[in-house]
Amino acid sequence: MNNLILPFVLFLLIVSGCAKKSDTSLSNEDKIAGETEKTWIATRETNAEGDKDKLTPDEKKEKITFWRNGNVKMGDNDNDKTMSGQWSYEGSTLTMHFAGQDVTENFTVVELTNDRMQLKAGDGSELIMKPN
Amino acid sequence: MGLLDFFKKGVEKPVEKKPEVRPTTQTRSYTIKSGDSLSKLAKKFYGDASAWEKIFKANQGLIKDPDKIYPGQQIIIP
Repeated sequence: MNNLILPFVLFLLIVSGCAKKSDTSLSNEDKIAGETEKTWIATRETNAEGDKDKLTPDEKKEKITFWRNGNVKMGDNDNDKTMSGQWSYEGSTLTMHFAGQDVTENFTVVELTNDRMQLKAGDGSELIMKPN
Repeated sequence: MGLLDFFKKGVEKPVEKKPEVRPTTQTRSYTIKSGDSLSKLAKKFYGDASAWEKIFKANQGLIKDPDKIYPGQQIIIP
């Protein structure tokens, strides 16, 4: 009987693994913006020296929404500091162009999965986000 | 620092300005001379007298009757 249980358990693991949509089947744009839009919030931040930068309760409420059509909007919970613009992803760089600015902000994407995005800014500080 | 401040700290690159797109069709102005007609001008500019309607349509605010154009009138040749 024991000889049958192990192959059966292995079979179940393989089937359940195949049924779950894996990250590799998603494009980077899918992971960032979902099918139409996706909102992210900060979970962890480190400064240029790699030290943890503690997020305040207000900063934890700040969110950023990426739309598949290339639009992006970020703001705090009260929408007092809203900024909007355009985003694009190429190579391992996330480019943001906020309205009214004549420069783009470019971030190195350190890690990107469907439920985690880790970005590195120009000064070396890093931000980890999760879907809201 | 927060998410809002973080997204202001990217590597900044100037936005690439798209080159100005100029219309491919050129228009020019022409001052009507004595003896001109729209079909003569069409023949002169397009090599086809029957293309006079093109000039007429481009100057509809100026020319009300295609048979009546006057010396000194400045029209557009599309």
